[in-house]
Amino acid sequence: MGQFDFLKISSILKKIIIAVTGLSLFLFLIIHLLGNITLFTGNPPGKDFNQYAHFLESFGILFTLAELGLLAFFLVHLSTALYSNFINTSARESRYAVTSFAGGKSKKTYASQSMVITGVVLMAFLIWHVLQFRLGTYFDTIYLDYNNGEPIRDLYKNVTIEFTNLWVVLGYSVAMAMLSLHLGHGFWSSFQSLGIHGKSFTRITYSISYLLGTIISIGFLIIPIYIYSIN
Amino acid sequence: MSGATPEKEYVESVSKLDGRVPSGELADKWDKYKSSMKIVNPANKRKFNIIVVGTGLAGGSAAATLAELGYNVKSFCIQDTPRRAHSIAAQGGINAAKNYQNDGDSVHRLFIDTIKGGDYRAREENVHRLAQISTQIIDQCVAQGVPFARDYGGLLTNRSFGGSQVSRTFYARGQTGQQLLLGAYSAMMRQVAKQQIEMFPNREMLDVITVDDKARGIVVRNLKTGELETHSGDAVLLCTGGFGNVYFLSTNGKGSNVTAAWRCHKKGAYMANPCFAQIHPTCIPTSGEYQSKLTLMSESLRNDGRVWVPKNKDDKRLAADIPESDRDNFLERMYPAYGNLVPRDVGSRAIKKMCDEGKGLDPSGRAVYLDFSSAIERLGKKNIADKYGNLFDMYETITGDSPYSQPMKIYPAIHYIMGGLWVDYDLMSTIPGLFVLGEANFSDHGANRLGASALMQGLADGYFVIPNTLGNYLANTKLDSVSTSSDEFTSVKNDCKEKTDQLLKIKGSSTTLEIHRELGGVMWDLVGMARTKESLEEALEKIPKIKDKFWNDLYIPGDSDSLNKSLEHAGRLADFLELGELMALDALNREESCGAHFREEYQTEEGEPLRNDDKYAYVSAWEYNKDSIPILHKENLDYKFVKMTQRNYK
Amino acid sequence: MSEVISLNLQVWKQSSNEDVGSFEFYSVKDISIHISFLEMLDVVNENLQKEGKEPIAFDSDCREGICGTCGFVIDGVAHGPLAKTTVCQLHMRHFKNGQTLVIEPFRATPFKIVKDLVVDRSSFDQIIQAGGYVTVSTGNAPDANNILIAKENAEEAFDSAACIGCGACVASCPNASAALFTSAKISHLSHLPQGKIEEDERVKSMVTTMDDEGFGSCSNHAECEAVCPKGISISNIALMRRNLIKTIL
Repeated sequence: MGQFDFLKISSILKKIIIAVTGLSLFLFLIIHLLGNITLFTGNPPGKDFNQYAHFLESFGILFTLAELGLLAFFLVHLSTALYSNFINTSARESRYAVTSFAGGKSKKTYASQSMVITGVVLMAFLIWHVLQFRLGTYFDTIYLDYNNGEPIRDLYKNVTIEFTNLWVVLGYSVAMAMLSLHLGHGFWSSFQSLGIHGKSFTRITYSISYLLGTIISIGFLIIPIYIYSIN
Repeated sequence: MSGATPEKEYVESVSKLDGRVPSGELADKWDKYKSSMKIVNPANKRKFNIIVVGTGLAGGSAAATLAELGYNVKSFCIQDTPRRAHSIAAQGGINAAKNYQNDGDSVHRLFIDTIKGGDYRAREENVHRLAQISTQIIDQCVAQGVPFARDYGGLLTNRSFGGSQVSRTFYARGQTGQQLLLGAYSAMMRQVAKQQIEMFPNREMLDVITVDDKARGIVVRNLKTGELETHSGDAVLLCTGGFGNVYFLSTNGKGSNVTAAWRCHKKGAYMANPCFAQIHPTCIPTSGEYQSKLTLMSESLRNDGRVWVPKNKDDKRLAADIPESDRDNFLERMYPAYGNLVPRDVGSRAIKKMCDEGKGLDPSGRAVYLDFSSAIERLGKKNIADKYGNLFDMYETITGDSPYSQPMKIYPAIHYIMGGLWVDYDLMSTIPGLFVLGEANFSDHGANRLGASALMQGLADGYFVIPNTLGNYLANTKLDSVSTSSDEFTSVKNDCKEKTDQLLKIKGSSTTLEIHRELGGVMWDLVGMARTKESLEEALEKIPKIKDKFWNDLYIPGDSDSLNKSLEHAGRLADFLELGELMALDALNREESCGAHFREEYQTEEGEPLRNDDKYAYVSAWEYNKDSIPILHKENLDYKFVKMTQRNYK
Repeated sequence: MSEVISLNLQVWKQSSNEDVGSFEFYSVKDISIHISFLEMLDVVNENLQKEGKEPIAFDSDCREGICGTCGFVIDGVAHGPLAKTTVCQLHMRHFKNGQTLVIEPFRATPFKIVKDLVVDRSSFDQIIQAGGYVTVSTGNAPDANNILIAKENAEEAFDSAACIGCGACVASCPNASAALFTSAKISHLSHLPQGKIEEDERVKSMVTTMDDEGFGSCSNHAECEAVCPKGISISNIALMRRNLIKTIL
């Protein structure tokens, strides 16, 4: 039998890395989405949201580490996928004149075939998103009953400023459409990549995958639309 | 040699051909012989190069086993990978005398059944060895990971096959041949990885090269590049399958051919019993002129299907509209004891008889019904679907009709050739050093083969017989080293090149398909299921005319320097044309009916084949005689252990 | 329903792997709907030869869907529109009169084009050589019934072992991945006690060879399962991944 080289990452290992990072990022998205609920609560508006942001920041170095970790996950997910895609492209040097969908048992969709495109768009969106908020203009505000009355960051102000711009809202809508497609194939596919397959398990994860992607995307999209509509 | 009589187109040799069977009691002959054989020293084995042509069950198993023993093996196949040899298409199963079902099976019973099935025209000792080895084959295949059918307790299960009274057939759904072949193929691949086998796919053997009258090499054409190559070795194993495609339409693969065997025949290997061609009754009928092959439907269908034609030949009603009283369930009528389960040849001839009487179904008149309506009524659709679902689906895929709602249409087709190159007990042909295994040889099935025995024979020859007998040959034979640059090699290679050029030069207007179809028509009509002196003589008149047409009016597009399917086909067809003539001659010579060979002149009052053991209890082995008529050698079948009897299925 | 149809074929012609290749157009008249796709091409080739033109090169052997020799892509689907069917078993009754069909070879970098629709799939043999077998030499085997195998395991092993090695999975995969082919063999042997013993070495070695041969990676499109003439499931691919994870852990 041939030699197995652990340094050379096999195609399967690559998919496992993509799946693990992908599922972790998915988990992050869920937490992010739950955190976003604070935008709708609090009196005055934004109070819960700003306090939640401050609470996270209060972890200090741990929070920074978490952020860096998250960044690493994004980068590993993206770079492994791009590398994999490069190999996949060279595995078919001459392309088909006609491509189609076989139907039946196939799970090939426009979404599944455009994971790299939606992924790269999402990465670009992510950079924009971080620049807008995490690294955006620093406003502060004071809540007398919080943080001993010391000023904390008013991230809510960034939200209201950004999302009153129609172009921003449209940009987010496009990005969330990409997200729904990316998660639609990515969610069920991650389990398959990890070797988790069962007749009913795979049927269920596949059938809820696109729905889940759409629900999460709409969940995120409610914020810009809501903010835009109330201002 | 005796002189040729005017009406005979051959001369007969006076000396008898000897199968070189070792002496001793039948039951321990093989074991005794094995222990008396000379053995090649393990360190010396790697000094021997063995050429194996063909990678079906016989070739694949031989190549793998010889490589395991330490020989250097060169393996050749015409397919793009050894895994595609036509053994892969065998559906039913493989027999073995395991007696796992405790129903009274034994090596002796399998031996007797095979001898009887072959209508007493096989060599007793070879058949007994086959029955003995059968049990080891199953062990070997299971160890390789062949997924045979199992019972809930985890043990192997068996079915009864082809009218056998015991359940001795092991099977892997309807794809037993595939699974066994993949087992042999994987064993081969293990040896390829160890560089013990050198694999040459896409190679067609065009000739055998003899040095000092021993087979020492072959010429092959690389089908992808057109290049002619020569390869040398210490022995050549021919495992190239059967030649049913001489009939154009058969259940064989499109690539199956006689070329390798025929070229060996022309170099001195005798061709034995070429007229013994098995016809399978349950195939899907032809749908038109462009039909390229026939598809077999498993014999098991006759367990529940009833074969019938309308009583009135002008009855044009749909099958469902014809009441029972207007149907002729002719197998049940003619053979009340066995009914629809009569042996293959009996069933086939009965179907032909109906069609010859004009009762065949539209549009070709060459089809009868195989009806499941009463079985569906009796057992329910679900039960029938469980049993035959796959087959029904396959039928519907091909014909577009569902056997659940209307009866299948079936017609017999050429399926297997019992005849082949003559071999002795060691599987060696009349060219020393040229061994012939599997369907390509003649030895084990006599005049008719039992269902599920082809796979058994191929694997027995390759896994268990040849590793012993080849070693014995090598240890006992003085073999000088040979070089592919020697005159012996280059001259044969040049002959092959000339022949190819000759074909390309004809530049006529008939395509290979047209001429092959024409040959097939003659073979099927005149040398097919039922033969007469007249039909065979007519065939012997007609085939040379087709041969003339071939050599004068053939058109092959393209050249010989690249992949050229028409050129490949033409080379094979040239040999089929010569073989066809010999088959007719062999059938004409054999003035008796036995097994699959049915001469209408020789039948009992009930229409059963009538053997003539006094005159024809021999193997006809034909020697090629360049520029003259063939020479017939006879190997007498003096049965020492079995008494010849007439079979009766009434 | 008319018994004959006419078709427009757009067929890929390429004299060798080095050649560029292009489409050639053929207008085919009065084809019986009862013949198979390959028999239809036989007719086309007969007519081409009659006109002194070079026929379309395509491979086939058993023509009953088991040898795995035939195969090409019809209108973007490997083995054509009918599920679980090779092109030799695909009959013309599934096509409409006047239809235009685009016929291309199985395309993948490891599958070099030999001529027109004929491709070289020897990389599959390489993958099997890397461990698609049980290490047992002839004569070593114990009595067959000494190895007990639960019926369901034997059945599952068979489902995977049914692979005919045609290459449609690679051809249809957007990434030209051989994961279904490789995993079918791994899964066949892993379901049996005989094959279980070498399971770890096998998966490492076969996956490495699969990658080295230049196939892409599986992105779970499952198009392979849809076009597979034997309906081999992508559950095999999951099993292959589980086995590999097991060896790493």
